[in-house]
Order: sequence, then C-alpha cells, then structure tokens
Amino acid sequence: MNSQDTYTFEGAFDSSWDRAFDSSTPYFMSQPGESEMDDLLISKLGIRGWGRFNYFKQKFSGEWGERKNKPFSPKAASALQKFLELAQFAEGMIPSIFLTEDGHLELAWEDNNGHKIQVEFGNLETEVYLEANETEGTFPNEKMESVLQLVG
Amino acid sequence: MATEVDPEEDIARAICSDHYDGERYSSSLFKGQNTSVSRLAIVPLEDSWDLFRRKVEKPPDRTLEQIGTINVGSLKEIGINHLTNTELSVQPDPQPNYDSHAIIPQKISKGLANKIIDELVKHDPMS
Repeated sequence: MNSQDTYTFEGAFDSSWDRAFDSSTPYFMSQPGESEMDDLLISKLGIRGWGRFNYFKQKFSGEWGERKNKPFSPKAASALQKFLELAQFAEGMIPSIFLTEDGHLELAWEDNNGHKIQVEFGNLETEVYLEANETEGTFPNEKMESVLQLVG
Repeated sequence: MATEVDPEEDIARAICSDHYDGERYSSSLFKGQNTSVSRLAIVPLEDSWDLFRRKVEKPPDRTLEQIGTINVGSLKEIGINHLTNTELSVQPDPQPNYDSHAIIPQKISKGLANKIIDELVKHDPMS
C-alpha cells in the first residue's frame, strides 16, 4: 500500500461498541504521512487494532470519562510505533490495543503458553508486565530494544 | 481512619469499550489509584446497568460493555496474596445521585490489576 492509499472502515470492529460507530465518518481516512503507521497497525494489530487506534486518536483527544482522564498521547503513539516496527508476534497472534486513563496505549497478548503479556506505552516510559514470571518493569521509551528483549 | 465497606459486600466495576475489545481486558480497568466502584448492597446488579449508563457511558465514544463484580473480602485476599502484599480496601464515597459510589484508594499495579480482573465475574448486558 502506498502513501496515496486510504483505508476503509468496513469490518474494523465487531463488538457492540464498534457497531455504534458510523463507518461513513471521515475520521478513519488516512491523512498525508499517516499511511505508514496505518500499514504497521494493520499488519501487526489487524483491522480491529487499526480501527481502535484511530478511534482513540480521533475521539479521545481531550479529557474523557467521568474522572477527566488524560487525552490520547501522541508521544505514546510514537513509542507504540517504534515498538511495532521491531516486534514480531507469533503466527496468528494479534494483540489487543487499549487507551488507558493516563492517555497511554496498552498492547495485550499471550505467550506460547497462554500467559499474559502487556506493554503500556506512555509519554516517556514503557511499562511491561509478564504474567509467566510475575515480572513488571519500566523502561525509557528510548530503550525499546530492552522492552523487546523482555517480551520476545 | 476512613470507613471501609464490609468484606461481605460485593462491588461492581463498569467495563467500558476502552477497557475491553471483545476479546481481552486492559489492566487499566483496575490499575492506578482511587478506582471507582459501586456497592451492590445499595444498587443491585440489575439496576447497575442504568446507573453506569448514566454515570460512566458516553456513547458513541465510550460505551458500557460489561459489568464486573467481585466480593470485597475476595478483593482484599487477592491484594494480600499478591507479590506486592497490598492491603486493599473499599471506602464508601457517595456522590450526588450516586449513593452506592465507593473507591479502592490504594495504588494498584499492573500485575495486581490483572489478578483482580481474572477473578471478576463478568456480566453481559441483559437483553
């Protein structure tokens, strides 16, 4: 897919929340320079992950929720992009993506034994949780290679 | 010392579209401090759907997908048995038109949040 391409929304969501969204809105059309990230999201997180990322980006750009949660963080998105560029997931494994109350982005998936792996990308740091050995760690976003070593 | 909700009570947590994608749950459902919950002794589960829709949901941006319930005593046990040995409590925090509101004031780590999520009983919307 080249930089002139745009993505359509069809099939991006499958939950009731997803169905509540109007697929005709222009929010999901790629802007110039965004196609690279879109390609990455689709290849690593699938259509659902791509849709959720863009939905969070567009609809949670200000305070949100009953507790005035922090908006979607572009810095967290950059950290996520850096991670996805380097990460290789097991065949058939498609991580889930979430927006946290801090405006961070979290990926969640399982290792080969079904144990949870979660990586939360913040403005400056990335937090890792490995259920297999009850490990929790935090790394500066510049040390994404260390994150990958831990979850790899 | 702040009043605590009795360990015999059950509490409910709203699970919204930012917490759940239909397949997995985000640790942010419980991670952090002052997690908002509702006391089922004051507002039963069947009425909690309306309550959470009024207080938490903001469609189409944020929708209520499920409700998670857990016993307060079980919650405390999970905290104590976790590596961080966290003494969890639930404190009443009634709000206007939201008498059942309570908080878990302690800071909950990602690992502990996952343990709590595993033990939650997840309820789908009633048709």
